[in-house]
Amino acid sequence: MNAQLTTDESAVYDRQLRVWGLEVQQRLNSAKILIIGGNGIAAEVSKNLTLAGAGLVAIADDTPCGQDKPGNFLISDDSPATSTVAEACACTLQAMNPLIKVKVEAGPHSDTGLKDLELEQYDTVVATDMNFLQIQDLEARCIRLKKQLFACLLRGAFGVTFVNLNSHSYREKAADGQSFESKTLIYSNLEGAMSCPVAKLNKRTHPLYLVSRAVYHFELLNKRSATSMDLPSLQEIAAKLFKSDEVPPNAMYCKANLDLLEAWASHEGVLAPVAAILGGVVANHVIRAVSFEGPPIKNMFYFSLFDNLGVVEDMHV
Amino acid sequence: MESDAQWPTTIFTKTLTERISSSRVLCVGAGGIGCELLKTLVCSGFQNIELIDLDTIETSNLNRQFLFRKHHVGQSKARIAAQVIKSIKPSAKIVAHHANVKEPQFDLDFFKQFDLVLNGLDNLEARRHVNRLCMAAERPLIESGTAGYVGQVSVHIKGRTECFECSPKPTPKTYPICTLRNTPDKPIHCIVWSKDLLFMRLLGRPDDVTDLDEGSSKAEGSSSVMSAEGQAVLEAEEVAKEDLSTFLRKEGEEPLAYAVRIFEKVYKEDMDHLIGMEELWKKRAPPKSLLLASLLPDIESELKGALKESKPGATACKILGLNNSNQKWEARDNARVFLCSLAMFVSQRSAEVGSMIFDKDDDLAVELVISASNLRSICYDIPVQSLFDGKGMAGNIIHAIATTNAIISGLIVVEALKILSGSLSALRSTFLFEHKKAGNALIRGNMPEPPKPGCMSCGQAQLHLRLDTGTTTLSYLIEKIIKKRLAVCVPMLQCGEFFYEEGEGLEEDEVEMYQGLLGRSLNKLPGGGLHNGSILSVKDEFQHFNLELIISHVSDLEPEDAPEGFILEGAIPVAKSGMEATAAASTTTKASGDSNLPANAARLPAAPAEDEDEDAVVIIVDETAASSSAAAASTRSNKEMDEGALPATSIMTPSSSVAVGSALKRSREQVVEPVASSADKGKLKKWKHLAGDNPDEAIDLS
Repeated sequence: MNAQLTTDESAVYDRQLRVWGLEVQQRLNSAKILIIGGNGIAAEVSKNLTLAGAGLVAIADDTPCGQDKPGNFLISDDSPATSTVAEACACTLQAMNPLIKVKVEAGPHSDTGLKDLELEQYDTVVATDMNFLQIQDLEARCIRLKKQLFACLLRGAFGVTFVNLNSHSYREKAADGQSFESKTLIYSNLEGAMSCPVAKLNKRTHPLYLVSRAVYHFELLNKRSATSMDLPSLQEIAAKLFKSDEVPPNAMYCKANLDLLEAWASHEGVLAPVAAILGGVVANHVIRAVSFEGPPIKNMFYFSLFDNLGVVEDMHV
Repeated sequence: MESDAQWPTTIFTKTLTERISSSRVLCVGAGGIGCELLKTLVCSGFQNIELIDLDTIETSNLNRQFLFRKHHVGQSKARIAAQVIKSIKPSAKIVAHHANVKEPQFDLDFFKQFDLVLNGLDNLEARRHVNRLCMAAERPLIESGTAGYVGQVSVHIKGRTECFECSPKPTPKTYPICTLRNTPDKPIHCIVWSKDLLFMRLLGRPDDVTDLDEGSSKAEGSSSVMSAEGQAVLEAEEVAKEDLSTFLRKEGEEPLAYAVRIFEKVYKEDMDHLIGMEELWKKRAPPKSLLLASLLPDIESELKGALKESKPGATACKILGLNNSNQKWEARDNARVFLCSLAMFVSQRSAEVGSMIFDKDDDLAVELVISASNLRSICYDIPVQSLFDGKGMAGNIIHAIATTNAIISGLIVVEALKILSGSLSALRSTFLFEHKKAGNALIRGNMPEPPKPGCMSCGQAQLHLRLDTGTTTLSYLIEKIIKKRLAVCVPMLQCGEFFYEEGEGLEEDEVEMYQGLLGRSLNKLPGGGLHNGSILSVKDEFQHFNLELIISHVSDLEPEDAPEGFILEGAIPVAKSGMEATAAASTTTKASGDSNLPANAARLPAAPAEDEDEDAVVIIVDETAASSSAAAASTRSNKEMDEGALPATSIMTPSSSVAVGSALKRSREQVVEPVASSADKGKLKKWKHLAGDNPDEAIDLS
């Protein structure tokens, strides 16, 4: 095992060491994580990972910090208006935990998109503020470079996370509570997650799956995000996907779930409480992923204010 | 699946946005949950927030209380949190109170100023106190708690949902005093002995020592038949009592010589004395005493030099070079740490000696307590603990991480938005689970329970108290039952001509008269005394709390049933139950009508976790003196370490969805039990198993 923690680290991390133990903390200390985007959800995730003691936390968001970034509590009143969102966040994060390294990464650029984004030096990429098209682009690069990907979608009453850790081996406390067991998870890509056989879905499947799948297919068809104007076409896609004659009537296709689709289309706003909830869940699982201890989310997490339900769904072909 | 017609689309209406910015919110607690909550509130548009917290910032807070920096350590949490939040949202009006929420300034009128009260507290007493004020002021309370990866949020609205005290709250973990003193068999027994008995005798206040040693203030003249083992224990205690002054440093005694003398007394003489009590060792192996001379043949040369060079603020581990806090020391190292840390207390911190209380953030105190505990463990052949693990046990440290607190803060604000938008049928009691511990769910919301008709806080309650009125003193009734078990702050008691009160504004002669009553047994109180069938009215004007205690005189309570010498049970009077049960049935029916949850939805009682690690109570129960109506002692040092208060244990009670037909029957049967009975505990444990959690992990600190 690595060197012991320093006295400062032991003192500050005392309470969490009692949750995840010394080895997880040591692996966290050497983790390198890039967070793309500067909205409320990015602020939540980067705060949580900074506090946990991730060795390197980098933020990419070139937007001037004078612009409105809803829910980003890392940008304070005294952040200079000339700095970028990433710079302002990094400044607060570094003060929050001087024991780690905080970095500003250039991009994403409005003209070249995510193509130029530096990913090589990171273990894990957390994408925020992206639609499914952008996530799929980023995923292709992450797969090629063998990077862990967490993508967060925050929209109105809903929070969605997609996780692709490629092939992920981790250890877990065995039933006896003493020894460890090794396990391996093979992740599906986004396309696979969105092509799961409809017959496999049932009334226990989180209703947001229908919504996210309809939205994904809309974006593929139209090469853009859906707005409130696109509701009819989203409904049409949902009907085509879920209301098939070949399979028995699917529990996914019901009025309540179509209401969710309508809510997704009509309310784009970001809600701070949903950002806090999703940001906490995502950070917890980034910690698992980078420390290779405990099962991380495989491969989608859905939370909805309609029912206060937050569920992990394993979706694959 | 039917949800409230408006929720959650109402969130995006201008009406709600305006209501959020004009509403007034009280946040109780600016710690782990508090910091996250403040942030989530201001980011959601809340503008008027008042904040109460008694605490100051510690280094170990910095891993999750993200508003605080290293240079804030030692300052008021409430003030710094308010100041930092204002730099994030300059338009927000935050009023900070660096104070205890139980202070009289936070009275009914204070609570009535707010639209919502949000708790982020760390101890049960304060939670019960705020609950009572919210119920009296008729203000919605959102309660929350976290431990490790799990947490919960519950909503309490007078007359609509159950209040925080409608469901039984598990009582703090207790350890038999005889086990602690004579027959420990787990590491925690040695740690509690070390912290609450030895540490207090060496460095604590003399009166605290007395309180603990005597167990309880029993009236004179109670006699009963004792087992031979019980007699042996009493004799051992007599010896311990006489020798109290030998724990103190003699005039002119060298610090190291003093430490050596204490070592030999505690681990050699006292141990040999215990070994000599054969009655104790008929069914178990006797302990072994320790020989300092063989552990550390040359103490002087080993320790003198190190002690001489130690600077103020140093710790025993530092000067001895024991830097790995995860290492389990052998007997020799434990002895070195014990001698050094005790010598350092009397030489470098002599001003504090005689008035200390164990503090888990005081490194030297932790080293003394853990080394002393380990030495005792070695005597009894119990596994020793590393400094890190021992500190967690001694300080009853609740595991805490930022992510859980952040998620819980989000869930609190979600419920707050429902209340402000009037979407009351969308309110949920929400639980956060560890991944893979509750199926696929990480977050699950359940319908809140309706109020329990006989609840002592939000209903009209009568409790049944069974005890020996001839041996129990008024002081015991007030301290151990009314204040400790019922969480009453400033009691006012009345029964016929007997009257007793406390608090500000009393005349000197009144205080004197009431104090004169404290030592009396209950049956000797004025007005003929309390007897079988007496109804004692208990009020706390400040908490707006009142209940009636129906007294039953029982002279032969079994120690297994009543380890503390009394049995407290809830009871709804027969004549009223029919009516109230009907009312309850109709609410339940209505409530389950718009439930969108599966019938088998798991549900936790509204017993939130302890987030932090301050302020709590360990009750030590004397099982040996039981036949003379058991004595209970308590120390006010550390935390509420009770299994049930942690959601980590995922205590499950049977499903909240009650079939309409059985609702009536159920509310008749399920009398209110503000104090969990042993039967209840069994039930809770059983459900814990069903939840898939390992209950031992959370309950048993060893």
